Amino acid sequence: MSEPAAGTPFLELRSVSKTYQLTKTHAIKAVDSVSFSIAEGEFVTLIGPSGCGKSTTLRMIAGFLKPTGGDILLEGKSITALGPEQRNIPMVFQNYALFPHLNVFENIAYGLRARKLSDDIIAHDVAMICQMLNLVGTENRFPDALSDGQQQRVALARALVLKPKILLFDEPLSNLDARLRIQTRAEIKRMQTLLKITVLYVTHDQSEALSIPDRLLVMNKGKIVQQGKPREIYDFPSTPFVADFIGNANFYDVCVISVGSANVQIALQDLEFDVSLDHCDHHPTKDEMALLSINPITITIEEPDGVLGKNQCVCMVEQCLFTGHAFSYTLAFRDTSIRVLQPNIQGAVTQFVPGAEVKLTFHAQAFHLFRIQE
Amino acid sequence: MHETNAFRPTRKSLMKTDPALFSALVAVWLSFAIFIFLPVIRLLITTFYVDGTFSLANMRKVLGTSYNIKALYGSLILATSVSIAGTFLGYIFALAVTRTALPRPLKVLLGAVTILPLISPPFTSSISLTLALGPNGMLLKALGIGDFSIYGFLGTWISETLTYFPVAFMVISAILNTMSATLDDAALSLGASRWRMFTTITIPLSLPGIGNSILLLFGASLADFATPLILGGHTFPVLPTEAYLMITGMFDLRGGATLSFLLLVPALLVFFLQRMLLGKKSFVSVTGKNGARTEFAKLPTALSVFICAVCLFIVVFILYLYAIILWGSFVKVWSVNNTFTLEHYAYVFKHGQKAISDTLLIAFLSTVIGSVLAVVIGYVAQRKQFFGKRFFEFTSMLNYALPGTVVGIAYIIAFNQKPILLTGTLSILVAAYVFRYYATGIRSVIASLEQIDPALEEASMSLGASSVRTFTHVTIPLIIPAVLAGMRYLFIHCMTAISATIFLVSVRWTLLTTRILESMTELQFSQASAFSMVLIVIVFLADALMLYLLKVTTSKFHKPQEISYEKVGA
Ligand SMILES: Nc1ncnc2c1ncn2[C@@H]1O[C@H](COP(=O)(O)OP(=O)(O)O)[C@@H](O)[C@H]1O
Ligand SMILES: [Mg+2]
Repeated sequence: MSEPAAGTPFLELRSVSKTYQLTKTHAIKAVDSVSFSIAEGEFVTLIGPSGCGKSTTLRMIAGFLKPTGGDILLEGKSITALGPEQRNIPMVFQNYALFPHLNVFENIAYGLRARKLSDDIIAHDVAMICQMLNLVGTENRFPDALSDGQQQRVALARALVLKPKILLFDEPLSNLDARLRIQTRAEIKRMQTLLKITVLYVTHDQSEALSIPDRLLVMNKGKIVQQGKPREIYDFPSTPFVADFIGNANFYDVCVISVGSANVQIALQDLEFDVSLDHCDHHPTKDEMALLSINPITITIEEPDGVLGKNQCVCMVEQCLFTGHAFSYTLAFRDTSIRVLQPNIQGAVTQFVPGAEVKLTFHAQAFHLFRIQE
Repeated sequence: MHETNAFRPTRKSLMKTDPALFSALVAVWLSFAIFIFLPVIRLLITTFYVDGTFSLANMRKVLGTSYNIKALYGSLILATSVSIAGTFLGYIFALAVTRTALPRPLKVLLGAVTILPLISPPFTSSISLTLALGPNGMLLKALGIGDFSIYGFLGTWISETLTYFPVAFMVISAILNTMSATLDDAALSLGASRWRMFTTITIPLSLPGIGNSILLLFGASLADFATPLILGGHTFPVLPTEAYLMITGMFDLRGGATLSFLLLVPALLVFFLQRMLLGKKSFVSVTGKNGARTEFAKLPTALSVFICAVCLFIVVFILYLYAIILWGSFVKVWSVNNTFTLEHYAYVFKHGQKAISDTLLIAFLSTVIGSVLAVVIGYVAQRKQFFGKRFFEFTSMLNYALPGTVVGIAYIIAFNQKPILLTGTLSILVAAYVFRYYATGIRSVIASLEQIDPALEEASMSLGASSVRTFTHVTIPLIIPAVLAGMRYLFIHCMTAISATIFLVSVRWTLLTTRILESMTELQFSQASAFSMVLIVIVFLADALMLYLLKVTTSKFHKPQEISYEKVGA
């Protein structure tokens, strides 16, 4: 066997599709010609709304499903025709899928036994992984006697003990409570760095998606709509969908007043802004209607002081939800409304009550302009 | 003094706080006393009381006869072999339906063929086995085998296995279906081969179903009376037939009672084991929410091929047996004069008319009464708290746990004399069926109630409905599918069962199944076949009607029920 040529991606999907034929006439295109690649040692997260085809993609990579089109390559070799048991791509499931009739030790040892390793080696490897994942002392317990967090760690241990080159996760934290989720997330990242494995991680939770990966793939309706570093995607969403799903943005139809060499001038209600052309997904023309997205966190909110500068306006608070780390305001904004997120710098900010007048400051360098889709 | 005072208020309170429950309990306990306790106690008295004192004389006498000992061993050996072979076949069929790539129509066919033995009278496979492999048997002639006797252990074993494996199929396919498919995926993705997955995941997780099936089949075979009566012959006696022959042939009620006591012991043992097994928490329900819609991984190819081959063979054999019965009912004299005739059907509708109408009336009455009782008992046992609840539940199932022969003998002993003289009446037949076969109804009502969040009933009460109104307007509509499912089996059992009622029929009230037996003992095979066909058609039509009702009601209630589960957060 030859070493893969330098530059060959570790895992590569080439226009992979999956169509579920429900009846003779009715079919669902769950995954639609998806292509992406993952480099060795990379941590990649696949995010998208529920039902967009994430699990289907993952299950095709694991080998549980046969693609209806395209090719999947591991280290340059096609694995599309192989069964899951021949791929050595373990997966951590949302419901953990621990074997209920086996104790923790046997669950972790399952894959090692399938590889016909000697008992000594198995005992040693299992002990090691238990040590690493803080499972020492639970070896003889059955899955139903474990806490959620422990079950999750056994599921992780069971895959990691095989020292796989690549590991798949399908929403592994969605059955955990918020605190455990953050803890386990850190754990997964730590293990990945420590063991230098490649990870493809599926989630629909944006905070989870942004915090761990080296790279993010955003999926919608069976297609990859954007990929890049989390920061890039958050700051430069390429479509309204991404701006909405990742940034939870406000959207307004705006009119293009004039187009300059670097900026485009737009009118939002009675306000006028200059948006950099870098922040437009197309080259706008004068008088065209475009879709403006404004991330709620980029708007500053303060007590009105009678002075209104450029990019500022006065609005009335309709609702204020306190979420601990922030205040989430909904304000009347001319004839529509606008959402604003104000970080809770403790003691330093006043909370405005519904009915109060406030001054908003927009920062046009954070605006994004999209073509309006018919 | 102090204690009785402390106790009294709670006693009073049930009558006051829930008068409906109180009166229901009184009525049900009263019926238990008459139709469950009285017969069993009279049976024990007849066995162990001689001239007013406790005595083992009957037992000694019965056990002193080597033929009876042979019957005891015969029963146990037969039950063991049938439970193993039947469970094996049932497992194969269940795997074929849940784990192979067979096309859907074929899977439906497999399911349909396994329904056949369930809706047939217990003699069907015995009759056709006799016709195929008995003296002058068709298959024997075709294969050119001269010296072969179907009578004895072999024939009984084959026939009972074919009759009871569908039960194993149902129990095991239910458990194979509820397994989480992601476990298969997990095993494969950890590198296990498909064989390894099958032996380390699928088989261990289906063990509770296998255990349950073995016990069910053991009990069913132990109690089976019709098959060994026709196929056992003199060389292979078993307890139920010996007890029957002792009572009807030698009029020895004491001997029959004692033999049936011998049968009662292993039957109760199986019953207790089964309750223990079901009481244990099953593995299958441990893993909760599923991530993705998944299908079970396919089995190793060699195993799939083996499974399909076995299924094909069995299906063909079963269809062949039913074809023989059909054919047999249309020829003049079986294997002697093969000209086509309708005379057997003419006979059935002329001389068997009373049996048909009697059977239908009895089955109808039993189904209605049994269902009402099943709803009340199931509801009370699942939803209410009261003193002696476990014993209540146990008692309700007792007649079902006992072999039919035991119940039949106990009933003739108990109701043959005043104060409750019922021999020869319609009531005794109906009572025997109701208290035996309402058990499936109770089980399905309880299972259905376990799925329905009590918050629905609490909501109804908190909106001001009384407990009776809540029961009739909220609970009943929700459990109707379960009740209908229970009714379905109740009706089938009442149409086809014979082991208990063979002792209870009379000139005034007779049953189709007993007519089949009479024809068989008179060696009128064609007549027996015609009776069987008529019975199968009636049961099939009634069953189809019941299934249709079930479908209509479930489709009507399915959606709102689902929504309310979610809202309630169950
Ligand atoms: N076995 C299946 N049969 C038919 N449709 C399916 C099946 N599995 C998934 N789907 C459909 O495919 C789409 C994508 O599903 P999935 O990959 O599970 O989404 P996600 O994991 O992103 O929530 C959904 O519309 C879903 O209903
Ligand atoms: Mg999913």
